[in-house]
Amino acid sequence: MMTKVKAQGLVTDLMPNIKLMQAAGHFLFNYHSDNSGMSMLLRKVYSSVHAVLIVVNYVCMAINMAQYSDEVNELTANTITVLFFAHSVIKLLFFALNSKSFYRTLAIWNQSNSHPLFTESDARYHQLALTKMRRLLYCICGVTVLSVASWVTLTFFGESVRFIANKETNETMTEPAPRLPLKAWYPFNTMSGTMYIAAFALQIYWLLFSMAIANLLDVMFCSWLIFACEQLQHLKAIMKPLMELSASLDTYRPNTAELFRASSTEKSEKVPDPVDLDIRGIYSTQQDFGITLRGAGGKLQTFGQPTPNNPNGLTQKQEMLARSAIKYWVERHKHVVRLVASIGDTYGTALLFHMLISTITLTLLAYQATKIDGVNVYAFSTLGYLTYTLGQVFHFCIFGNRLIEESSSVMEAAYSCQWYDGSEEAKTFVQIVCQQCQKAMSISGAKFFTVSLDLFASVLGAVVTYFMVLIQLK
Amino acid sequence: FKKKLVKKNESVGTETTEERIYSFNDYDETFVKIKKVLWILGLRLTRNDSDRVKLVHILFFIYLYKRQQWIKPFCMKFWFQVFYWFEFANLLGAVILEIIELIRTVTGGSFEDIIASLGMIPCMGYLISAILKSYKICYYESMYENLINELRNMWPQGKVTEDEHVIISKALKQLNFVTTGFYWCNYALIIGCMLPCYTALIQIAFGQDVPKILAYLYWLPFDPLQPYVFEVLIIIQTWHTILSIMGIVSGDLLFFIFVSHITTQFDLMSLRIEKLIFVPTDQQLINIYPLAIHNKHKRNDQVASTEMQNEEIREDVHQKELLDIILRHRTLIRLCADVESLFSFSLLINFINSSVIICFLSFVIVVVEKWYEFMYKTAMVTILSQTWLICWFGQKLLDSSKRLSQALYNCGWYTSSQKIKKNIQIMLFRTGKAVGVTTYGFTIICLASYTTIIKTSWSYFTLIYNSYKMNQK
Repeated sequence: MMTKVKAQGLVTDLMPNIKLMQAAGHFLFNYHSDNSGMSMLLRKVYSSVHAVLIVVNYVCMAINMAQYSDEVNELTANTITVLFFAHSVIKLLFFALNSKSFYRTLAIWNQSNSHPLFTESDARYHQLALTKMRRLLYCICGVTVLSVASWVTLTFFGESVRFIANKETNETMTEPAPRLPLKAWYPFNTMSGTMYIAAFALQIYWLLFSMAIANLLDVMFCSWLIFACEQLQHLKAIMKPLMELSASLDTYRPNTAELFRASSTEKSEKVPDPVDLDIRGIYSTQQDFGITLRGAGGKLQTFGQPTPNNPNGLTQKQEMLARSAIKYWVERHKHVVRLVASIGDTYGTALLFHMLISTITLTLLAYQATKIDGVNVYAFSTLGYLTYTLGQVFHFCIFGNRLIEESSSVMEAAYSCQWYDGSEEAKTFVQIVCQQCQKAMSISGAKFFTVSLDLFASVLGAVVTYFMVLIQLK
Repeated sequence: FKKKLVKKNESVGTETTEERIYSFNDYDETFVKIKKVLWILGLRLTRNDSDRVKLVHILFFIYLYKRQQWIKPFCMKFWFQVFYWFEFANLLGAVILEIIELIRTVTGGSFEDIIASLGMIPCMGYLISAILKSYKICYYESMYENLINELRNMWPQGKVTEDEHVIISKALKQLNFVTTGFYWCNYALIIGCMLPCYTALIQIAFGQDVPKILAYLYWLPFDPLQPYVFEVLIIIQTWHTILSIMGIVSGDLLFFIFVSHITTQFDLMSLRIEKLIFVPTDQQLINIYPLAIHNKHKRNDQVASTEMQNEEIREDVHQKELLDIILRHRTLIRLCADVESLFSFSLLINFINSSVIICFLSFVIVVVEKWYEFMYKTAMVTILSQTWLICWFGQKLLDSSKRLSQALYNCGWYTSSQKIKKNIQIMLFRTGKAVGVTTYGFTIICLASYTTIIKTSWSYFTLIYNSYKMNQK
């Protein structure tokens, strides 16, 4: 039974991504506004048809690889293509099997805590996260479309042949093959005519959708990491006012009234441009920007009896606000830790598979790269594969690395605020937070490796080493 | 018999009314299989012998008394020790014989003989492992007993809460599955090892002309293929197989059981810590957060909430509970250190063996054994899964001790007094360092070390295989 989930939290932020994934054929059946049986059935049929087409064409490519496996060069080239698109099939399957886990991660941020003094900062960093996620989505969509376009363009250059090994003389000969983007076995003759055009169209569709499937899932993972990083930025940013608030509880500080007026100067920056409706009907401004428009500064009562012990003359309400600030900080930090743990559980295995396949692909590509002998189609296609594969690995490594850096820099932020002026309570708070945040939060690929730039460096280093060794052997 | 009957009635009663009642029976049940295995080896785990054994003891004593032989009553311990040393001598003898045979083939025999005798190296590895593991149980009996009793005392009695029940039942299920599976798989291995010899024997009995096969190549001063000598030798070799495999099973099963129980205790402690301090819900701590959910039952308790208003009483309550937790934490760390001292050396030898054995087994499977024979293939699967199980349990222990620091951060420390905060902070320091078992100080046992073992074996295997191929040419 698909529960109708009101779009909130992460789901609202990632709505464009989710819609694109649904369009590409992922088995994502939640988050629709209309949940009637008929439309649900239609959606399932849509996804199944896509899945069937993608798997069938993939199997045709594999059959082609098995058919022409005698000649080493042909075999290597076909293996690289098959491995390259294995990502799409695996990710499609992975999402279908693991969709509950994805829904759970998306629902983690449905409700979050709040504090009247920190609402502005919260909204600001949320907005930042949104912008970055949106930018990433556009970027990756653009790269996908560009790759497909250049792939199709490259098909028309060079000779359209395949290599065959002559059994008697043990030489390689060339045999004409259909001029298609991908080498695959089809039950019909695709050399020319209407069948050729049909196969070409099918392959363009297939290229676009399979690349989209793989990339959109990676974008979702990276968007989650962006969100977590911005939340950590928010926590770091409110550390300073938190210390000052806490200091105001037992030492005399000038201008304490300022602290309790949630900074009004920042309000004007955050009123969003209502024209910024990127995709109509998918994104709702009201829900998201409602908080900033309301503002929280006005809620505070500055009148009331000042408590006797307080050197700054804070009212009871203000004192309560100051005390609850630490509670807000700690609970929000725990929420972020839970989110990161859920992300790791959901996507860790997919990352493991991705790295395994990429390692093998890059090894073979290093071997192929040693055979480049000039500026021709072969060089372009090999370099294209290489950059794309390395780019995919770099994509999630860089965001994983950012998460590690952000989470370990919380300790820096705690140390760099004026903790020495704070109350005993604040000092203990800084102690415990520094202790806990020394261990960085990281995403691991099912406990085998940590996603960071170190991983990317080791992969790149391995490729370069293989390449150098193979060049020497030649 | 009586115990079993009573237990059955009890469990029927508890299943229908409350599923969440635990007693010492659940704990003791985990040790049933291991006790069977140890009895074969002549080792006792605790001094509480089973009823059957006590009966034998009493009968024997009565017999001595009737015969008016006032021999100093040899207690069960003595007989068990005698039995164990006899078996130990057996195993040691087998190792020596195999080593002599191996040396003889390597120095004298042809290349093919050497290849065939390489199959003996896994067997020797097994024997040495078995000797080491069972020796420790015999020698450090009191330490084992202490471990079992202390863990027994920590076992939850009576009704437990829902989340505790989830933790305990999951751990017990996993442990049960592993012990039963491991136990029966090793029996299958014994049968697999001895099957070729027995089938050959049966075939000869039916008159077929089949060569007599001995399971292991021992160096013997006489011809092993003589008519009666051969049968006796087969029986002796079966006995040696049983001994060595049971020795390994005993060592490993004990390790699994101890580590599993310690892990369960760590998890229960995490839960206790998270529920320690009551924090009211408001805008900063909303209803759906885990801390609010943990404290739900406390909120409903009227008496507790009025108590919580008074700061001093609150601090006292927290301090007492925290002290209890700290003491238990220290006990668990000490028990882990005990497990380490008991098992680390044998696990080191086990790991070294595993890399060597996996390498040789893969060589034998690829080169020597035919595809329809299963002896070495079964052995390969067994040793791969045995090493994986050890690493998996080690990883579980590491993870559960790391979860403690997470639990300490997750409890509502910011609403407690300074004194409690300082205590929690010092605990945070200690729980930052994960508690685990190492292989005599070399590596910590976790899944990452499993990948290291496989990688090492793979590189040894490729080396040997390539040199074999070169030799062939």
